[in-house]
Amino acid sequence: MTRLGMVIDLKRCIGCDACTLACKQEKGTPQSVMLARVFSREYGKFPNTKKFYLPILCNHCEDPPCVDACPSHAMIKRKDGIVSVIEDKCCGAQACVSACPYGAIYYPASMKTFTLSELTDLERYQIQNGIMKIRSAMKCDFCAIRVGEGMEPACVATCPAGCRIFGDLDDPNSKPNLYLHNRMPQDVPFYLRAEANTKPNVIYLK
Amino acid sequence: MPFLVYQTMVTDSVAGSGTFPTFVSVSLIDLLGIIALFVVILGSLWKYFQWRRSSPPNFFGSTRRTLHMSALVRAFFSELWNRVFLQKDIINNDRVRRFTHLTMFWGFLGLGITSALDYAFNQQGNYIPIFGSNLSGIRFLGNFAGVVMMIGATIAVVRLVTVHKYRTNRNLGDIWFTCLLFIAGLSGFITEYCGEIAYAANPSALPAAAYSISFSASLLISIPYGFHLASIALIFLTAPISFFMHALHVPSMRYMERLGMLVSMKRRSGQKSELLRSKESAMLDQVQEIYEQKKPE
Repeated sequence: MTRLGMVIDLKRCIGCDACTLACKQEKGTPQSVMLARVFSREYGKFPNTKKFYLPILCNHCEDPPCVDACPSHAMIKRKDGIVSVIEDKCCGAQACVSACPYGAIYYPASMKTFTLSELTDLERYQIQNGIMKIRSAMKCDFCAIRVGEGMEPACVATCPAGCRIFGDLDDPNSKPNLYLHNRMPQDVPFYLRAEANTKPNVIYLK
Repeated sequence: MPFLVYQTMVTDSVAGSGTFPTFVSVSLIDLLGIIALFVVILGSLWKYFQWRRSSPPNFFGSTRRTLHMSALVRAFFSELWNRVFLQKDIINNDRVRRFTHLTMFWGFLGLGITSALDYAFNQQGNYIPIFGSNLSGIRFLGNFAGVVMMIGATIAVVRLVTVHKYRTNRNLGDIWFTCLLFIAGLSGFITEYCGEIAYAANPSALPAAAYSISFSASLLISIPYGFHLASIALIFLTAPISFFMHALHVPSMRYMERLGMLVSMKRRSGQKSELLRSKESAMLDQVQEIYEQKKPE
């Protein structure tokens, strides 16, 4: 079985937002939608303060609450482990948005277009040919089209620090598993919000 | 409690000519109703705790601190009216599907109201003529709601059978729920028709409250009424695992999102919902905690 997932090494992340921009460029998401965000937080007390960056994306959970919440079965868990939206089926109930513990699903308030004023040529083509629906839930799908063509997701390919490692988590010789295997002893792998018990496929490394 | 009195069938009506309610008494129906309600509440609680597990820990606290009870209630009724009753902004991509969904929902709701009114004003389970009685309004509402529900359920079943795309978009839980609604509606109307005939033949038959179970009812009534009761019982008993639960789950999720937006507006903290902000904050808190943990020496 294939279980696509990602390891994100927080030590390597420099907070450059290249992943955010690569994702926006790849997906053409509207202004308020960022499927790959990077947060930062300072901690400690002056003068001993530090800062960490936290890249957030859909965790492609094994037990995804968004799939369970969707009344029209637009949210699916694919055989390769990717959780994605079938835009055509989305009825706009937005239950998935509330159900996701990571806030990784968006439902644009206005038209789901890159610019607010007018459609781009690509969008016009996609809408006319039924490829894109003007309003539906949006989420990261690990760039399923790129992955299908043997490439890595845009955020992984773009990251200059190489903090994102993508591959099949069920394959012991895959990049993420080898990365985890060869990590330094003090590096701690963890899941975000493990208490939600959604079995995420994105593993963070501190 | 009246529904616990299991009185064996005692009837003076002639076998095979009983009126429509003689098959099962109202007390047994009440018992079944209470069990169904219990199952639906259990299912709702299960869903709620599932969501609560993945909801941000600070969200409810900040909502309670920021919003008055009146705002919570107003938001609840606003969501109930717009999202549930009028179903605004939902299923806008398919007119037939939207019509089907609306009719099934309004019909189901109307039948629920009818059952409640019947329980309140006709506890004996007496025959109510559709015209000319004080209680005719209840029966008229029931028939009207039944027709509305049947329009939606029939379209849904026909689409299930004939439209390939529609069928492939449904899972077993949806098909189960749709078919049960259809069977419940159809058997309800057949039962009602047969009851009318039986009552016309024997107007002096006892009301339903006089029996627990009667085997003297005509098979013409017993069979469709049996199907009717069984399908309704199955709708409620399988509610937690069927499509039924979405009727409670989806509006609840929308209500939470609405509360998040209200908190954000109240705090003037931008367009981002407080629910989303709480989720982000929970993730950052978790990672900060990991970073602040002292390394073992």
